[in-house]
Amino acid sequence: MIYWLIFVGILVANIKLRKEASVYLRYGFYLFIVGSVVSLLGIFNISEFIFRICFIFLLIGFAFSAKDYLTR
Amino acid sequence: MWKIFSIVLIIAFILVGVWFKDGYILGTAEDGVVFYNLSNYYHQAEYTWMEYPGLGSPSLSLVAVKPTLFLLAVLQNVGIPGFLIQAGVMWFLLISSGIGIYLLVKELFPDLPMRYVLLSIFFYWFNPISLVDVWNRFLLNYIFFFALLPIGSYLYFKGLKSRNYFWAFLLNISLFFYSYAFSYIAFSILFWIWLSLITCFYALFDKNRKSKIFSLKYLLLTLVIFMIINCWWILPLINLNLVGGAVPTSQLFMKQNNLGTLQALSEKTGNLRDVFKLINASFLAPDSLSWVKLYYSPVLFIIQFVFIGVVSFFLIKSAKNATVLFLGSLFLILVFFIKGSNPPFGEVYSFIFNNILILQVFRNPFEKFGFLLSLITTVLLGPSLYELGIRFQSNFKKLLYPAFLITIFFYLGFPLYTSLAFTNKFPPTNDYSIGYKVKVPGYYKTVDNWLSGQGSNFRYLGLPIKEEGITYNWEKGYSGVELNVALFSNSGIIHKTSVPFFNQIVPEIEATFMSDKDFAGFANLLNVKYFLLRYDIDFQSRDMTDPRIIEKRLVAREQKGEVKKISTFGKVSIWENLKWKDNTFYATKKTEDTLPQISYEKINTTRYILHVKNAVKPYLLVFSELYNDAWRASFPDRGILNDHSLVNVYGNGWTVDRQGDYDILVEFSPQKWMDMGEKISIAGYILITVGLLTLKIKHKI
Repeated sequence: MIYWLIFVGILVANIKLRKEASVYLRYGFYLFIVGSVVSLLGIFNISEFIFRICFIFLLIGFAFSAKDYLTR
Repeated sequence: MWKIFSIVLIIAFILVGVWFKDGYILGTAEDGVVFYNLSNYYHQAEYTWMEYPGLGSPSLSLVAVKPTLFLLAVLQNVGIPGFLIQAGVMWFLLISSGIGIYLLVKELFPDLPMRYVLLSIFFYWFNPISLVDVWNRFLLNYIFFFALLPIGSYLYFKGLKSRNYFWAFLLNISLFFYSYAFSYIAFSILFWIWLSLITCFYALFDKNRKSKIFSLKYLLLTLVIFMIINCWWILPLINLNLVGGAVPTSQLFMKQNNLGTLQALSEKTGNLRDVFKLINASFLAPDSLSWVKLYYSPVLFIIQFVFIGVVSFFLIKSAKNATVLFLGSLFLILVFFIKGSNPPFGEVYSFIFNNILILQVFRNPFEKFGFLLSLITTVLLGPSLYELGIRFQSNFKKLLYPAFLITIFFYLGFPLYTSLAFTNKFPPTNDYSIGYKVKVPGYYKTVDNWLSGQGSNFRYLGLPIKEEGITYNWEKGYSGVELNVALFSNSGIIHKTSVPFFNQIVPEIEATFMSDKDFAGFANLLNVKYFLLRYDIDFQSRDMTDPRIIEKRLVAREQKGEVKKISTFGKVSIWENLKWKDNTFYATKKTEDTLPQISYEKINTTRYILHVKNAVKPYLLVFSELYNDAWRASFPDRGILNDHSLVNVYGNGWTVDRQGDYDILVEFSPQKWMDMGEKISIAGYILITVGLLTLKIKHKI
């Protein structure tokens, strides 16, 4: 449930913030690096949580990139 | 191009040379040792009904392997050793996957330097998903599917891109060489999910409206051709499901069981921390071999994160490019599928899984979608590394390529060119000098010849008998599913399986045998004429009865005149059931009235002609083959025997109410569909091949 809230929250926030797709993709990549480091430290639950948020960011980033491409 | 092809040929040759240098067949798990006796395996796939596992069962999609096994069995029958044929097949599959990756990557990224394409090829062969799901599992249909994916994706994509229907025909003709993969129904479905995803995303990112319509038509045409030229296994499968005879398959689609399995497996293997390392988390266990533990050590996880890290970097930096958007979307959707019911958005997967019955085969998402994730990561890796190199200073750039080449070839590839990938935690495969190598002792050939010489109207019973898995203590031993198909041409009961009715019978066999009850009657019910006592099995590790205890019981029954020891061949002794009579077909009734005389001709495993003489009153005709709704009995004048019922716990029975002398035809009805399907498939292949050649000659393509 929490991930749906994060997903919807980002989409709603974007209506006001109007961030570019590349911003979400970049955040997704940063989260990937953080998640990898946390995973290597052996804190698996937190790394899994970070990776899931990373996945949401990548999904949104790609969806926005696709929208930009198709409306260009 | 030829340089790359030469490297692929040579590396594949070296790998196969390492695996088969000792001259042994490799075999394990559900596959057994297919290459020990290809003809026996071919016979299981020849018709829609097979005599395996003892009482018979529908061949289902296994008939898809018929042409491949036929060709391979021909090679074996002309004297080529099994291990050489297996090596040749592995070589073909490695080369085919390597060339497929080359063509696919060059089609998507034409400007990519060759050496980066080569990295992608090595990565496809050696990545952690391939290591576990393809090489370590070592199931032939998995390896065929692994080889089919790159070349199939290339041929399909080529047609999509060039807007030319020719490629739909070429793809389907090529599928003939990979039809073995479709013996596992999940791979047929997965293949079409993959092509549908490619079509959807390609159409989405193609701004030309005509191209979008073409994409849809192209997908439909490819599907129609696929259905036509694969009629030989699709038609009987559909028929069997319609008549309710596909019982073992339908059990795969039981929602309640599958949802629980999906959730359990998703929790185990669907965590993104493992998916992003391309690692199958279920592969590591406390008792895993040391080399497996090495690959799951935290230090080496850094390397494994790097691959998806590099790909992600490329995706976010090039997300404005249509090809990258197309591939990136496929990558993300596959990550979504592979994590199964795990968050985020796992509810969507569970919903689809629950509501589309056919998708119940994806209750182990990592195992199935892992093939696709491995492919898409491979395709993206070469361009990702190339782009990364461009962004760095020249000194670092010079180091980048060799660093990745060494990592992929020497670190990821290490278990393959040392054959460690063909070892497992179960003895004797945990012995590095044995692994999956199998050497079947010569006395099994003698036993098989002896049994074949006694005819084919009986079954043998292997003792001791327990579950499906077995361990043989041979010089190069074996651990996996029982080898009755490989070892013996005759039909026999040697293990338990989940096949309905059969699974009720097997647990009773040894219990009755060890008791003081009459065993001959029970054996006759199963049409068992010979008992094979095996001393070369690891009965302790499999929790089976000690063969010496079984032998004592046989001796006791010999003294009672029930059995007689025939001979001992190596570590297998043969005993005869002295009260045996051919019970393949017989007539019975509740009263002591006169029974008709019944003789029969076996045309093949799906067709019998019975000659009935002196039938006076209604009687029950018993057919001692596993009950299935698709078995039909009829008179030559087309009168059908409708009263089909289950008898003797597992067999077929029909009430016959006709007097005098007459014939009865007993047949497994899906076979007619297979016969028709074969004709359609052959005609389809010929027409398409001739059509393509004609167009080629006329330079129209």
